[in-house]
Amino acid sequence: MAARKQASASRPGALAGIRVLDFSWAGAGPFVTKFLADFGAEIIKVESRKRPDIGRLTPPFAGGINHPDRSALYLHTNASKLSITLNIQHPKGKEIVKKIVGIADIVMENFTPGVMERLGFTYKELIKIKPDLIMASSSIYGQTGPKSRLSGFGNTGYSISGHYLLTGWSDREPVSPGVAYADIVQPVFTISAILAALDYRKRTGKGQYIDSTQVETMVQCIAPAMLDYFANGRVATRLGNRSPYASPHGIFPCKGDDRWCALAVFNEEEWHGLCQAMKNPPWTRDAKFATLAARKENEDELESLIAEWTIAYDRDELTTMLQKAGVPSGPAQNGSDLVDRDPQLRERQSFIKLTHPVMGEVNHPTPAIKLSATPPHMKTSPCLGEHNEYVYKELLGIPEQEYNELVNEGVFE
Amino acid sequence: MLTGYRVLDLTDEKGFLCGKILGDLGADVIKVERPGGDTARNIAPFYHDTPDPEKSLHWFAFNASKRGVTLNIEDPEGQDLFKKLSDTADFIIESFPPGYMEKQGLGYSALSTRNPKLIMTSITPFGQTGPYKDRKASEIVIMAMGGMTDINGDSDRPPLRLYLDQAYYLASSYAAAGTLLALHCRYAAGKGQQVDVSIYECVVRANYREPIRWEYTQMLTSRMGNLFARGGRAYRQLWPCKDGYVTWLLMPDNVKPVRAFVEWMKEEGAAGRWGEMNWDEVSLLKWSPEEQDALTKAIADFIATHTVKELEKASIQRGLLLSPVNSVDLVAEDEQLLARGDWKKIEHPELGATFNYSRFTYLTSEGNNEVRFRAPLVGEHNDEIYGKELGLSKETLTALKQKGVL
Repeated sequence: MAARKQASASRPGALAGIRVLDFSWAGAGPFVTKFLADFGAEIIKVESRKRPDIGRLTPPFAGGINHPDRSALYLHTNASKLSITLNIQHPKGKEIVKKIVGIADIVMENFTPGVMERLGFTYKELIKIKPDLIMASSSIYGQTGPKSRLSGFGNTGYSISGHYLLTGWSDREPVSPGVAYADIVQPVFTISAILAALDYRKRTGKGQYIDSTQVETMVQCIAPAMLDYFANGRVATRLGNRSPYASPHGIFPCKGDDRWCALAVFNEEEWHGLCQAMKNPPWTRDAKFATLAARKENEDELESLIAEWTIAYDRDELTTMLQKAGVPSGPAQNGSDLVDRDPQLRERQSFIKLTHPVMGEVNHPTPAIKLSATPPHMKTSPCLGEHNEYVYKELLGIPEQEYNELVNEGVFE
Repeated sequence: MLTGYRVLDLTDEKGFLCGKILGDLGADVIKVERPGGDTARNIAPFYHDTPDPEKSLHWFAFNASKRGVTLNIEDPEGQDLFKKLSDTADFIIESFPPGYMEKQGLGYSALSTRNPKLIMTSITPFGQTGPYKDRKASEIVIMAMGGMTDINGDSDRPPLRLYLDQAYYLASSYAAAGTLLALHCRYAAGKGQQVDVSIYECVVRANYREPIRWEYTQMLTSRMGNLFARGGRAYRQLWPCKDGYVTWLLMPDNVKPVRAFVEWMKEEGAAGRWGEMNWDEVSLLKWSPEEQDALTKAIADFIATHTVKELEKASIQRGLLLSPVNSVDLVAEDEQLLARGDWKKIEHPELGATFNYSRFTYLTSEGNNEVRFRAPLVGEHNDEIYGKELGLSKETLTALKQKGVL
């Protein structure tokens, strides 16, 4: 077994010195290690030439050239990491995996349950090499139970957990957003799990196995509806843009093509603010709209009256008026607004320009949260196998001759 | 997992879940509410549909595994007491407008001078800095600004949000991660720090595809209902079946699930010409959109003749990549969740009732991660925490109560 080496000391950040062996691919897994990497952990991402991360094969590509080092999605989900290519089916590849486990703190994977077992990389096997290892598996439905082997695509977790049926207008079929939402939420919980496990290891010397699932995570995110079922027997239904505790609460049309403004009124103060912004038309004094309960009761009518008012204004002009009146409000923005115009995101450096060796100078997403004393340390995303020499020769200390033999045997394919 | 750490939770609904996550992990989370109780106790649904600050199921759902005290932190005596309490804490999580805590003399610099190990996590719509920091916003506003509503819903209707306050839950889970990251740093640094969570930026990160699409293709996605963009085309992903809906997507780059579907259809004599193909040689990527759509329609017609349960079972056995679109009652009865012990009965003696809570969001082999006990009643632990733990006398407590500080 290779001697334990600290993760590159030159890499600063909140997680400096933490090393992760990362088998994860596609969305939900790589988002976990991206966060850890941005905060300074050394992520050794295992791919192979035959099977690179599917992100590398996903358009759009920089310059429109389909190439594994040109995928924007891969860059956005794998910045700040190291990439090695390794044939983990090859017996010598398996030996190398075990050597890296020996110098790692964390192993992360999101294969369909059963794959790590077939590869011989179960937690039980790996702790023989590294007794205090933290290993996190991320799946849709869990590592145990009768349906653990279920595999799916982007919206599977969203759908099984009850979210899909509850998203949409009450008078239409359900819809799901144009992004795999559970792929976003689950990783954040998995990050907490890993960080709590790191603290537990520090305090007890013990590692652990984390079995993170999309379905269980997403069920937590409809907890009030689950309790409404368990306590009241009610089966929740779609609410469109409405909220149980605010009215009006929606997204209203503005001047122009597909221009919208969101606004929400939670209390009487905000209601009076809205009425004032509308210049107190007579209908606002109707008893039908006098209280939150009354407004909820007459919400269809309320919404159409407000829409008649909002349509006359530009969305930004409307936002300014509503903000002045103390009403929570803001425009419905798109990708272009976020990347090109939003002053808040610019000031807080939500996207930063870094130079990728193949893709050139492009935007990189920074972590969603800011720590006052330990800012992130972003690097661009790795080219496929870019860090083979560093990991195999420098970290594992494989001599030149043996390294070349392994190359020739296709172990690093 | 986090036994021994103390959290003071001053959040409203924007940040409830953060403390819940830490509480489920074993931290001693103390919900600090204004005298009379947090206004979020008025959020529906309610137990037996009776509006009452002690019966909000929304409150229960996100404040379980916490103890609770009341305190007026706008009163000088309340501020003093809060400082004493914060001396015993590892973490403070709060969701007031930026500057509010400083105004009460309870900003990070004031509190960390007394307790350098303190970590303070703030959850606000736009973060502590920037031109929008003082804007009034709510969940739907933040979802809209972050671009999530623009890609959700139908083209003939307004942009659409997700169900309930998803942006708050997402930001709260980021806040838990940030708090634990700061805890990790505390070992080396010997002191705490501030964690600034912008709910807006959490949503922008969630909407991860649109900024990419715009930067690289100068194109934007319109609201497409149940169509799912993949490669150059959009594919329908929701299908009505005999007794509900399932999701399934024709993915031209992944022929396996399509082939598995056709094999099943063949067994039931419904595969038509697709059953006669040599599937070893099929490349759906080379098919015309019309050919892809014709096969999709045959599969949809087949789906319509089966129940959710039949389809789900076949999906697991055959690898169809299909999944049920569950309602909450089906979630509650799901055999996988039952087998994993996902529900935990929690007692509410005041209601004379016991009902199930979601037990955990992930399983661990060491340490605990599960919901522990019901949410606190208004001021339930005032005596226990101020009296027994901080050592305030009965007389002082009574006086503070009378003055409206507690």
